[in-house]
Amino acid sequence: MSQADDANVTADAVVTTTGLVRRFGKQVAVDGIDLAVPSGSVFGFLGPNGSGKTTTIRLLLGLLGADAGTIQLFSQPMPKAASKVLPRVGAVVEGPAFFPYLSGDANLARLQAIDKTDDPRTARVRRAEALERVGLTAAARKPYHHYSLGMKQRLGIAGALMRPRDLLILDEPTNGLDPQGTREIRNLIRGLHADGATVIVSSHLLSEVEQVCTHVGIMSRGRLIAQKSMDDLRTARVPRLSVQVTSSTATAARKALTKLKLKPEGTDPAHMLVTIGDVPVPKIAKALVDAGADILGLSVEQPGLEDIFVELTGVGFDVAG
Amino acid sequence: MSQVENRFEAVSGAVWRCLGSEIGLVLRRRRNQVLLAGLAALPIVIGLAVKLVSSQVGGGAGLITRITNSGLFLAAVVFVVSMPLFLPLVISVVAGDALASETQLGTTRYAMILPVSRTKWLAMKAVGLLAFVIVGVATVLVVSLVAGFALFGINGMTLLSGDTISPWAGVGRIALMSVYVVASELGLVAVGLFISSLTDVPIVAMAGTAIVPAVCTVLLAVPQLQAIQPGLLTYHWLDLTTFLFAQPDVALIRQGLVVQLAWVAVFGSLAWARVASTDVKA
Ligand SMILES: Nc1ncnc2c1ncn2[C@@H]1O[C@H](COP(=O)(O)OP(=O)(O)OP(=O)(O)O)[C@@H](O)[C@H]1O
Ligand SMILES: [Mg+2]
Repeated sequence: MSQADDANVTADAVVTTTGLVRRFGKQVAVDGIDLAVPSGSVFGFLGPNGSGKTTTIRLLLGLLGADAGTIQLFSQPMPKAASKVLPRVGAVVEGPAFFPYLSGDANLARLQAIDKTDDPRTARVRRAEALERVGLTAAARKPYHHYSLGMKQRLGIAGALMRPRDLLILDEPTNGLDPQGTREIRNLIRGLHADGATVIVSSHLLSEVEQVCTHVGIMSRGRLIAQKSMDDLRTARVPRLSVQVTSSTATAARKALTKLKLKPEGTDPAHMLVTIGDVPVPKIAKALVDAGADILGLSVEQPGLEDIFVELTGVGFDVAG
Repeated sequence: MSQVENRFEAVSGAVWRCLGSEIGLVLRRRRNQVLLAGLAALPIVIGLAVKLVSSQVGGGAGLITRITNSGLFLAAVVFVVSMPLFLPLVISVVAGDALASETQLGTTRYAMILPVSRTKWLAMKAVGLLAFVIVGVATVLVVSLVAGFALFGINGMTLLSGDTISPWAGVGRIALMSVYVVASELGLVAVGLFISSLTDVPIVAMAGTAIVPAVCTVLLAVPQLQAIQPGLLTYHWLDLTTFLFAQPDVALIRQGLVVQLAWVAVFGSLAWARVASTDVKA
């Protein structure tokens, strides 16, 4: 994927990295990535486990030092400008972290107390609002170690939302949340986006973020293998035909498709997926019927992000060694 | 966004809020309160033991007899007894925990991205520990005085040099002694912070810190090491008895303080170098 494609977004980027590298011993966890997160976007930062998403985020926030390359947040160099830049950034990195023996509210108060730019006059109100926003008001006084996994995750997000932020970096924010919670987080992201904030949301579950993202960056083995707007991605998608037939006529159906120079894919012989190309769908249908296939289902499908990922990497969504 | 600009300004009183929060975190922690309760129990246990022994035997030798003569001596004895072992152990637990536990919990990274500068992070941890040491020693002082007076009465204090001073002057002496005790623990606090910065396993840092004064004490017993002994962390710890003489040895006290400052300088710098330079783990 040529970085020149993205030159237009770089101009107005909130986060820019060039040639960013981070090694752990021999392993190159982040391998020369050029990230450009456009202002006002919801940037889905995707990739399988161990592909370097969290490491990249830690580099952006100055939690790790880079071995090579540059990082700019709001056009200012990180980590040099950390004290100026980070108050504008809220983040959840690698799961929430709080004192187990303090309540959710006391934990947030502690964060406010050690933040020298946090206004104490409005601290209490902002705390309550943040807890409200993530639906934790009822559990605010419970000690953190009594929180469920999802409640912990919510508190982490509340911590990032206690102040107005221009950039939110959420590393796997839906980890441990129930479907309702996941939906709430998506709505929260939509709300932040509507307020003008830029949101980077990392995930290994493509379907979870697909619906809210305006842009995606896809990581694989430490490399950023794609960085596009969702619109570009959608137009690049090639629709496929899903063909379902009875198992007794599966072989006949497959033959008919191959005769049309189509390549049936899929693990289930009775359920084939074919990239249509120039062949009109009615022609395919007729060929199948003529071959004696008993058609159970025939539909045109737009591939999801996951299919595109497989296409781009050629490896599927597995952990790299 | 218009409110963006003033978001970078430090609000007034931020330093005090931060230190207050840190001190509160240390003192409100249940485990630390248990340690403080342990310190508070020490004078009571020693006082009751002395009371029982003296009523049975009818007078003993040395400091014990002095306790029965003046309750003020109970505090002196408790300090002398707790100085080599109990107090350093308690402080090692809290100091070793300071940075390591936050690294282990992951709260360090959330502080760093607020952001909190690395130097401020170390400084606030040091202040929290200092507060704990002061509260710990003050607890021993107050409980000793109360227990001493209750068990043995408020009498003038016959010093080790033979002079007798008024109860109020005696309280002054004991208070000076406690200040010296606090000062004597500063080096250990710095060592603890440094060791705490090396690991994200608190128990390792606690044990590592507790070993340092123990090793120093062992080295003090090796005659061949005479040349380096005066610089050891524990060398001047028991010099606190000099406050029990009519003329305390000021030079000795000064040496004790210099040793502590030297340890603070060395291990404080090491801790700072460590905290400021490394990646934030976990
Ligand atoms: N502190 C570390 N020391 C050694 N190796 C590390 C360290 N942190 C990360 N790595 C390695 O770097 C690689 C990238 O890890 P990273 O946490 O960035 O992946 P990720 O994309 O966030 O994965 P996940 O989806 O599982 O969260 C992994 O192979 C991991 O083993
Ligand atoms: Mg991760």
